[in-house]
Amino acid sequence: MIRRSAMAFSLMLLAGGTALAATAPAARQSILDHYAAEARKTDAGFKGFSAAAGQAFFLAHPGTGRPETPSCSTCHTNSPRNQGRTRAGKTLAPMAVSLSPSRFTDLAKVRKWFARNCHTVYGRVCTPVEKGNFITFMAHQ
Amino acid sequence: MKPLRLLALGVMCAALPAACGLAEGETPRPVPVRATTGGPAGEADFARECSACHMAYPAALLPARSWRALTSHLSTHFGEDASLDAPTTQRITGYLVSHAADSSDGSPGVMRGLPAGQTPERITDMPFWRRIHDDLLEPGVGTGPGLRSAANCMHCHNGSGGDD
Ligand code: HEC
Ligand code: HEC
Ligand code: HEC
Repeated sequence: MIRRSAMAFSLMLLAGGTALAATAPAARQSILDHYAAEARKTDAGFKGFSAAAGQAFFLAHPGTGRPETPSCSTCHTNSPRNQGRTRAGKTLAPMAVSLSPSRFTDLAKVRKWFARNCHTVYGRVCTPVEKGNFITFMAHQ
Repeated sequence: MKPLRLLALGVMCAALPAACGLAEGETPRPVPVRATTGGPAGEADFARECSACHMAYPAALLPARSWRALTSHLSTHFGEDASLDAPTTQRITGYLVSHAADSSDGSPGVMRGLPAGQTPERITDMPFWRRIHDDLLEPGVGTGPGLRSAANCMHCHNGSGGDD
């Protein structure tokens, strides 16, 4: 009896693990869908996100934010495939989805960090198109 | 650089009171400074939210008034935006204040030399911290490209030599 239920439990874990792996791309897509819907609210002719524009946005030094954080690449480095490093020296997982599959799968986390980092680097909120472009670029890395 | 990386001897921050309350001239025994890892309500929020950009600094290294001041303006946090929603901020503040240097969990050693009218928002501005570290941070001794900042405690306090 005890053995049976232990087995059932490990099977459940297995199923849970598989489900998680399968849902990461779906979760990322639903975040992209969310930003696409936002984009269409202000631009009825919105055609879709651009990885190239996302890369330019990531590498830009807009000069409108805080002097300590001139660019997204200040912490995330020039390559999304590199580990990042904060100003206090903490290591960050790469932004590239191929290396960090759980990136951009939790809308609350994504919103929190766009809000903070757009504020410090760009000195303003980012548009839904900028956010979608950024995620699209990282999803292709 | 090398000797400074070998600090992970002895016990955890619980040993701090003794280490920091030493008499004049005595050498403090190194204790690893460890990040808080979780626990009930405010502590779990603190461990999750306050460890994204640096280690979750031990609550017992700043007085309650410092934690209140620091958490009252998280959107302008040392040049960055660390803002959180109000309920989370409140829970984290509650945890930090109740485990602060001048709470029953704290130690007089950490408070020593801090004038009543001062509210430092950096551990590295606390007189106790300066007494221990000032020599280490002279140019060429403890600094260098790997350290990046004195606030990178784990660069020296982590036995493995890693930074987080
Ligand atoms: C001061 C350092 C710093 C800068 C500059 C910075 N970031 Fe980040 N970013 C972080 C940290 C720290 C995290 C949270 C830890 C993690 O997820 O690795 C993070 C996480 C994120 C996330 C959440 C990713 C996920 O896992 O879902 C996004 C989105 C993001 N950053 C976008 C940006 C953008 C866009 C810029 C430029 C406008 C930028 N960041 C600039 C430090 C920075
Ligand atoms: C440059 C390396 C370095 C950095 C960075 C550093 N420390 Fe230390 N710290 C030391 C050394 C070395 C000692 C032991 C001093 C002695 O024995 O005289 C020490 C001692 C201490 C002590 C006294 C207890 C003990 O271990 O002896 C505390 C508490 C402490 N450090 C906290 C911190 C905190 C918190 C930070 C980050 C805000 C930090 N340190 C950053 C090197 C460092
Ligand atoms: C968005 C990134 C970010 C987040 C999130 C963050 N911090 Fe910080 N914090 C920083 C930076 C940057 C510094 C300055 C580091 C330096 O000087 O090297 C700092 C410094 C500190 C210091 C002073 C360290 C010293 O002694 O020099 C304390 C204390 C502190 N943070 C507490 C907190 C608390 C509490 C939270 C959670 C509510 C938090 N931080 C969340 C970025 C962040």
